[in-house]
Amino acid sequence: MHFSPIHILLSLFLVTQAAAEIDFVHQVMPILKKNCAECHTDGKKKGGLSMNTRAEFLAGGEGGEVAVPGSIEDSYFLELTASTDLDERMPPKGPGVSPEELKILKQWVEEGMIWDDAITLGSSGWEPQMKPRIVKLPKPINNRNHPIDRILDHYLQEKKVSLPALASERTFVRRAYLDIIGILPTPEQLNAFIHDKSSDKKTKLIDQLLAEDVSYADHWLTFWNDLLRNDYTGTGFITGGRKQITTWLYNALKGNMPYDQMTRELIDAKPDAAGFINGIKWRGSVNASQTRDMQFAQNVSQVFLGINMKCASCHDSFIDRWTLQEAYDLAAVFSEEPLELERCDIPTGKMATPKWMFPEIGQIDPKANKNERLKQLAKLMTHPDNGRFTRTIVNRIWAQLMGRGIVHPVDAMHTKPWSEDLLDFLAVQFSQDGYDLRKFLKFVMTSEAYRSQSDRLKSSPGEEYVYKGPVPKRMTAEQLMDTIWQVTGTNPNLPEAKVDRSPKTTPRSVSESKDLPKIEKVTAKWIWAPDPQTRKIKLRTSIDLEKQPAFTSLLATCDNAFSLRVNGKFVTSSREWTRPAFHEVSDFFKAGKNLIEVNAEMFGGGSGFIAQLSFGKEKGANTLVTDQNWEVQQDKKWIPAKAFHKYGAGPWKRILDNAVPSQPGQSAFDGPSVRAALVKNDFLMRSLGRPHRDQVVTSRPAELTMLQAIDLANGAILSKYLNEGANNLKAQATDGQKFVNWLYEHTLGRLPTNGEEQIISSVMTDPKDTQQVEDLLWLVFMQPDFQIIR
Amino acid sequence: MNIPESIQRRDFLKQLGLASTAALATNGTQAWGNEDIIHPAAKADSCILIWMAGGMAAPDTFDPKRYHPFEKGLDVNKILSTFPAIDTNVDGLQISEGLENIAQVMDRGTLIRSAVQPDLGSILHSRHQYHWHTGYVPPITVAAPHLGAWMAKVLGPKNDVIPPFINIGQRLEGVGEKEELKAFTTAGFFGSEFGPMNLPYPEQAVKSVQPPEGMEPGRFSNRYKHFKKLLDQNPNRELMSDFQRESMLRSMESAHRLLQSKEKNAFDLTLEPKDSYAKYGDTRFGRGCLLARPTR
Repeated sequence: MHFSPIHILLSLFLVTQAAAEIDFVHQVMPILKKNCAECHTDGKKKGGLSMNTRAEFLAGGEGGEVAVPGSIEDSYFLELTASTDLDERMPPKGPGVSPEELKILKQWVEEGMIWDDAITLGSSGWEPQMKPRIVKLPKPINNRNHPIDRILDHYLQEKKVSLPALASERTFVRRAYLDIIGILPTPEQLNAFIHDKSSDKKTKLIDQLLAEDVSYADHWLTFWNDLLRNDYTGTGFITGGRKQITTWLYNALKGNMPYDQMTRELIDAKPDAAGFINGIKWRGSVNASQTRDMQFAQNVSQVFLGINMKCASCHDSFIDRWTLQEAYDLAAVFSEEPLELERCDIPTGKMATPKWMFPEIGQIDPKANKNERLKQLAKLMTHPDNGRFTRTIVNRIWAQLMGRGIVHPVDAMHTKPWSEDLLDFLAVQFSQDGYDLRKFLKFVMTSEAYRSQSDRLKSSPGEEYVYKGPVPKRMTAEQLMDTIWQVTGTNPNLPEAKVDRSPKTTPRSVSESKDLPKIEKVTAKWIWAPDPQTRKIKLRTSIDLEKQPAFTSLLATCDNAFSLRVNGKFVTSSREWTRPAFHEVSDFFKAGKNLIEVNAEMFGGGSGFIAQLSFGKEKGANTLVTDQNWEVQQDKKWIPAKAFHKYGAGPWKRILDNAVPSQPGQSAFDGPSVRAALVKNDFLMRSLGRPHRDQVVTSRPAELTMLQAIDLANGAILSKYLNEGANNLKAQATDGQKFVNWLYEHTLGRLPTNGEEQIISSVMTDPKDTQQVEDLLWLVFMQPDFQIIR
Repeated sequence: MNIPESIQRRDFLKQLGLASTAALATNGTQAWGNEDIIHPAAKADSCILIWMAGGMAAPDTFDPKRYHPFEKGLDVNKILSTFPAIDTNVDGLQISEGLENIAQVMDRGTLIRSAVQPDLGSILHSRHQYHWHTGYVPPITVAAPHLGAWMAKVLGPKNDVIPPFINIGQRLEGVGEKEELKAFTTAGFFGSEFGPMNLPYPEQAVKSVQPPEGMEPGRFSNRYKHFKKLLDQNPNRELMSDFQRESMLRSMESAHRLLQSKEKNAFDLTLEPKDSYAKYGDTRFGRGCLLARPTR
C-alpha cells in the first residue's frame, strides 16, 4: 500500500484540522504502536485481528468486532486493555496501557476513532532489496530484441494488453529532440530524417542529439536544478545562507560526468558543489527538522535513494519504516557537533550516532571526522552493491522519458514497481554502462517501447496503472519558453547562470604559443544593414589567399552580439560589445577563396559590427576590414552593407584597444541562444510550474490550470514574445502558404491539413499584417499537440 | 433599461460573494478559560484578508498602555502610549485616540493581543509573513499553501467564472526580499490550481481580464473562435483524447469565459464613482481595498 506524498501531507494537515480533541497521530498512534503493533501489524494477525489500518481494525478478529467508533461499551478492545486479569489483558506482556493512555483511547473512540486512511500502523508492504538483481531476460517476441522490449512485451502479454503501435517518424523526431535537447527540430532537420533511407537512422539521430553538449546541458539543467534545489535567486541568498552549484552542475552535464562521480562530488562535496549538502541556512530560530543537518538527511535520502526522511525528521514515520533515530543518525554524518534527537521540536535526551540506514553494505565510522564521514557516505552511496541508488535514478529518468515512473511517485521508492524486472534490469544496465547518463538515455530511447505511440489516458494514472505505452508529457515551463523563443527568435540576451557554453570546438589545435601583437591601427568601420534598427542581420565577405597563412589575427566586436564562421566553421562569438574577440585564427583559412560569415544581433539602441583581420605580423601585412564592401542579407538578397561610423567614432569609442587575446571558441560571452533554464524565474514561468527551489522538486504539474490559461491568453510576457516574434518573422510571413507550412512543421512536426489551411487562410488574409502573424503564432502555440509531448 | 456601470460592478460583486466580511466574533463573548467554549458555526462563505504589512505601533493603535504624552528629550524607555486611550462600543475595550470611527464598530471585530512572534532572525519580514499567511513558521519541509489556497481548495469557487483566490496589491517588485515575499502567496503542495490570481496593481487589475495590450476585443474573441475551429480540424484529435488535453482545453475555455464575461467588470476600478477613491484613499492600498470591497 502506498500514497502519493501530496496525499500524505494533506492528511497530516487535515488530521490537525479535525474538530476532534484527540490527535490520532500524536496521541493515539504511539500507544497503539507500543502495545498492539507487534502482534497485529505487518502480516501478523493474532486472533485474526490485523490493525495496519482503521478499516482492518474495524473489521475485527476471529471473535467479531473489537472496536466501534463512537461507542465505548461496544469497543471490546478497551475492556481488554483495561483488564487486570493477565490471562485476558491486552497486551499480554509488559506493563500494559496506563490509565492516562486508556483515557486517551476512550476519548478517541468516543470521538469516532479518527484515523486517516493514509496512515498505517505497520510498515509499508513493500521493501525493496538492497542489492542489484540480475534479471534473466525473457525470449524476444516477434524479434523485438531490445532488452526493454523483451521485458515489456512479456509484461503486456501477461496483462493481456495489446502491443502499442509504433509512433510516426515525425512524432519520434519531435519527441527525441524535446527529450534530449529540449527544443524542436527545424523543418529541415525533420525532413532530413524522413528522407534518410538508412535503417539505423533513429539511433543515428539519438547519437547526434546526445553529442550536442551545450543544448543537452541547457535542457537537462532544469531537471537537475529541480532535483538538487539549485537556483539563481530566492530564499537564503540575501544573507549568503545558500550557495549555487550552477557552474559545477552545468559542467558536469556538458562533460557528461558519470552519475556516481557526480554523487560523490555532491556528498563528499567539492567546493563548488557544496551548495547542495549545505542546504539553506535560515536566519533566526529554526524548527528542529529544518536545521542544515536535517536538511542534509532529507535531501540526501530523497535525491539519491527516493526515501522520504521528512516525516522521520520529527517522529517515527507513519507511512513507512523510517524512524526518528535513523533520520538523526544520517544527519549526524554531516553535523559538526554531537546531535541530540528532538521529537516534534522537543529534546529527547537521546544522542545520534553518525551512520546510514543500510549497514549490510558497510557503515560509517562514527569516530571519523566530518570530512572522512562524508567521504565514507559518498562511497557507500555509490557502492556497486547499492541497488537502491541506481534504481532511484533510472526510475527518475524513465519517468522523464516515458511520462511515468516504473515506481510512482518517483520519491517513494518503497512502492512496488509495476515491473520489478524492468526496474532491476535498467538499474544493473546503468551501472554496467559506467553510470553514464547519456548512454542510459540512448539505451531507453533505442527501444521500441520509447518509439511507440503514446497511451491515451482518460485520467491521471493512479495506483492501478498498467503500462500500455509512453504517457504523454506536458512541456515544462522552460521547454515551452525555449520552443516559443526558438520559433520566434525572441530568446533573452544574457544568461543569469554563470556557465561556459562554448562548444567544444577543437579546430586542429590552435597553437597557444603564437603571440598576438596589438593591432596598431584599426581601419575597420562599424557596419550594419542600411536600416540601423534591423535587429538581426547576416553579413558576409570573402578573401582570396595564395596560401594558408602562417599567422592571422582576428579582432571583432558587435553591439550587441555576433557569431563568426570562416569557411563554415565556427570561430568565435560574443554577446557583450565591451569584450571584443581577439584570436589567432590562421588554422581556419586555406589557400584560395575563403568565406567569412557573421550572424549579428542588436538588442536595442545602437547597432554595429566591426572586425579587422591581419594576415601576417609585419607592418603593412594584408588586412581585411569591415566596410561597405561587405554584404548584408536583406529580403533574401545580398546587398552592400552600410558603414555608419569610423573606428573611434560612435558610442563605442576605441573599444577594440581593450581587447585581450583568447582562444577561438572560448570567448566569455559566448553564445548559442540563451535558454530558459539559464535565466531567472519570471511570472510566466512561475505560473506554468517552474518552482521555487527551496525544496527538492522531482515532478512538474501535468495539467494546465485556469490561472495558467489566463496568462497564456492575455499575459503581458507571452504577448510581448508573440509581438516581437511576429516582427522577426514578418519577412518570412509574406511567403504565405510556405510560411504556414514552415510554422506547422517546426512547431507540430507536421503540415497543416486542408481543413486547417482553410481556417488559417481566414486568419491570415494579409500576410503583411504582423497582427495576423501574431495571432497565427498564438493559435499554433496553444494547440495541445504543441504543448504536450506525445 | 440602462444600468449605470457602477451599479453593475457592485451587483457582480454581490453575485460573486467575493466579499462577505469575514465572520468575526459574536457579541462580546469573553472566554475566561474555565467555562465550556461554544464555537460559533462557521458561516462565512468568503473572506477578505486585509494585510497591513508594516510598522503600525500597537501601543498607539489597538493595544494602548499607560498614556505618556510625547515631549522633547523623552527617555526612550519611558515611551509607552503617546495617545490616550478611548472607549469603544465594547465594554471594557479601549483603543487609541484617533481611531474613533473604528471604536464604534469594535463589536464587529475580534482583537487579538496575545500573538507572540517566533524569533526568525534579522531581515525577518518575509518569514513572519509566511507564518501569518500560511499558519506555518518557515522553514518547513514542504511548501505550505496560503490561507487563500486553503479556501480555494476546501470551499472552491463561488462563481464558476472567477478564480476563487485573488491576491490584490501585493508588492512583488523592486524589494530586497521579493523572492521570499512571493514564496508564501502560492498554493504550495496543493498545486497551482488553487493558487492566487495575482493583481499587484489594483488600478491595472482590469488588464488581467482584458485582451492583451493593443488587441481589440473583437480580434481577441476571433482568435479564440479560430482556436476552437482549428482544434476541430486537428487530424490527431482522436489520438489525443487524454486527460492532459482535456484539462488544457477546459482551462482555456474557463480563461476565455472569464475574459469575455460580464463578471470581469468586477476588476474594473474605473467603474467606481470618484468619491469612493477619496474615501478609500487614492493609494495602492486604498485602491486595493476598493477593488475588494463588498457591495453595500
